Amino acid sequence: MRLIPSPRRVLATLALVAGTALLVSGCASPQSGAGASTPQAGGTITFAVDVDPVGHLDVHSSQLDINAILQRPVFDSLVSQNADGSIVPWLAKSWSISADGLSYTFDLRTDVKFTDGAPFNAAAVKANFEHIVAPDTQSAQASSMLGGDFYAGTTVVDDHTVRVDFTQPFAPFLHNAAAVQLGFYSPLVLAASADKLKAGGPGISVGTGPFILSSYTPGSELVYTKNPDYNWAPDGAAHQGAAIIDTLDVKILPESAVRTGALTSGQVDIIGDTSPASLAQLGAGYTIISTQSPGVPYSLFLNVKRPVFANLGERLALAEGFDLDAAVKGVFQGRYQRAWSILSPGTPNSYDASLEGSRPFNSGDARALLDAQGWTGRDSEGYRTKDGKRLSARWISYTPVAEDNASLAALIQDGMKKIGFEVKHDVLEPGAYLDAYLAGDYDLTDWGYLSADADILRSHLGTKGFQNASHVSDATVDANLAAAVATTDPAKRAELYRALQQYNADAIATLPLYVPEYSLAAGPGIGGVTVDINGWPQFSAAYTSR
Amino acid sequence: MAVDLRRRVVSRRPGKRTGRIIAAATLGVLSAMALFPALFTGLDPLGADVSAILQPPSWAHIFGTDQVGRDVYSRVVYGAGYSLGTGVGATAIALVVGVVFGTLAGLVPRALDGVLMRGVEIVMAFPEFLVALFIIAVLGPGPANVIIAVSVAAVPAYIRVARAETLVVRRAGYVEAARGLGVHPLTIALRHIVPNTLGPLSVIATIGIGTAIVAAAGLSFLGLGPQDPTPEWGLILAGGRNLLAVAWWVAVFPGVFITATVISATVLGRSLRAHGTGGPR
Repeated sequence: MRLIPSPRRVLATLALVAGTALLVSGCASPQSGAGASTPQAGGTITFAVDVDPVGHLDVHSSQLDINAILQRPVFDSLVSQNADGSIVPWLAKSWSISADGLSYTFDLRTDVKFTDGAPFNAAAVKANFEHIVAPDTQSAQASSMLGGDFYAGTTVVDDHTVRVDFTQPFAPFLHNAAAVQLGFYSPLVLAASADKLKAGGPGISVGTGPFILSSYTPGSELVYTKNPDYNWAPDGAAHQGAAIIDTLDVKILPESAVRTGALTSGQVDIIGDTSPASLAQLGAGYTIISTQSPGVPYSLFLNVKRPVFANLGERLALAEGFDLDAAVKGVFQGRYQRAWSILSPGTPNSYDASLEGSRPFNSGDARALLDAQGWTGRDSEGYRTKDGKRLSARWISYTPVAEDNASLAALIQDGMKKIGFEVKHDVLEPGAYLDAYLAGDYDLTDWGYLSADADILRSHLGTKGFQNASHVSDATVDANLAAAVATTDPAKRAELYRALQQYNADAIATLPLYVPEYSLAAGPGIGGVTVDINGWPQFSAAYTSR
Repeated sequence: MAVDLRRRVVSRRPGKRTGRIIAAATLGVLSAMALFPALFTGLDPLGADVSAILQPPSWAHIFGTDQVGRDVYSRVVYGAGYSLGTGVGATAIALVVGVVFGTLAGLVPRALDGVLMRGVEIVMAFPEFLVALFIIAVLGPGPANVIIAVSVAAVPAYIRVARAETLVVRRAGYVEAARGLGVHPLTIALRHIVPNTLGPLSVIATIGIGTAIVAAAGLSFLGLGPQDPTPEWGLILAGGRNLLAVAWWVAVFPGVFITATVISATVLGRSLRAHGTGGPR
């Protein structure tokens, strides 16, 4: 069973969660980069990011957001997802779904070539999907995006027609097929160097994309040169044909302030993962593209199997007991939205906006709830007690905790202390965190999980979900999750996910805190940068007029 | 006599004396902050305030507030205890260990002395901060380990000075006399040699406190020392480094305190040296 937690899976999850939790950014603005003068062919664009995916470059097994960002220029997908969530043709000209929802048949483009010369065809699709599910690949994310246990196999119908079968209807598949995790390696690479994919690099990370990875210096730089033969951009893409620039140069600059300084001094053209503090620093002349990350917003997960949060009273007291609005506003300088639902507003076809404002800060009510639960005594430090035991929750996080999240945690602790509820924040090394997590030895833990499909709730709220940190076990919830993954009717899915969001808002299994954003900032003279649904940059239409 | 003359000239230059007085006063005030922080501020260094995040300096918060609304002034005041404590503690450990091993090296047979000193020289070949980082890597992060790491990194210098002084003092007439009278070697070492090596060591220790504070703050800055919300200068500085453009006061004030402490310790140490306590020049 793929969804049973295993240490490796959770550890891999942590890596992704860490990436997501570090997302920071600023105000919402248009989805495409504008602002520069006339496009000029050629030239180099420099893009500074905080980290590179050393040792995790295999798109089929890596769970790092940064890997998805840095491999997108190299790898194409069957379909493409627009920022509004709609799906358009890419390497597949068209597709059909069988009436029972079990089979997806893709009609592939015939003019696509990998950058090592191999043709892109049905056999290449089959080889890649088989690589994803092969045990040696150790894929957790990509294999679950490919259906996990529901994946039955891929069949070559003819040279340019391929069919993917499932054992039960798997509605998120088209969304997932648009992700770089289900992108395509050259079959020559899969045959000759499958063991080198994680290390990656020129000649290994070979796809059909608009750019070719031509040099990789771990921890320092990735250089991409344009693929001159590229002529298969997604339908409706901002730019068709080969990329406008000749070279994309990615620099690794870990410090947020250093990236901002590099941008303002003109050493780099674009910076990623830009913090609210950095955005506040950039004046006119800089193009800022901020996108609310879809999926599960940054949240606190309340372990309902432990005494302190076993009853609704204490969970409600946590939800109402501290001023989350003011904390999010203060920590992110007014640039991030406070979260109300277990799904982010950016998650396609699912967000329940009616939850907004549904449970405002009310410390009086929180105090009354705790009194009603019998926490009426007080100890020497002012914390509530019942039968001589202090009202205390253990919150575990793993290192490194992003600075803004650490500030938010301090404000939550302070707010809860005021109503006599102790929140102890234990920041643990990943190994120690994993032990505590698997043993269930925590009352609270935190993360956000990026996902372009609401099916992410299956792993967070499902009884057997591998990220069910709250230990939710509810027959109705499980039934709704199963129904939602099995139907391809958008209206029906939206209704089911609304019910699940409502369930969480009532039961407070997780307490959503804020909606992370991914922010890009581009300097003067740079234009044409577009972003995908995650806010991640795409460079085929990018140009520089400097 | 030439030495005396120069000394008089030095001490009469008003600039130098003023510098010394300022340095001593600064260290005095900082020590008072470290010992009695509540005399300097009535605010809680750990008290977060969601309604007062990143406020610029004002009468209510003379150094402004940090990213969770804590008063930066009270954090810096309470931080004096951690930073000075770490600096003094690490230096004291280094001094004691340095005297013990340095004196031993000066007294034991040549071959043993050679082995010991080659070991010391190997450690000295690496920059002190690198040695401290290495120790932290072995012991793991934490405030106590920072003190140990900084003291281990500083110890070789003390060993060398203590040994050099021992070599000089052991040939002094009163040591020869004591030996001739049949006094126990341990007694000679403790009563005649060690006390006479302490003068120059106290000078480098005074300067060393400054160095130790910088090293400890550096380790905390890197997140290897005490953890948030502990009001430690290096940690406060680290918390403010990405906010410089929007809230300069979070990083600047602890930075000024670190700088002032280190300069004061150095000025005082050098003036002790110039006053002929006999330290290495």
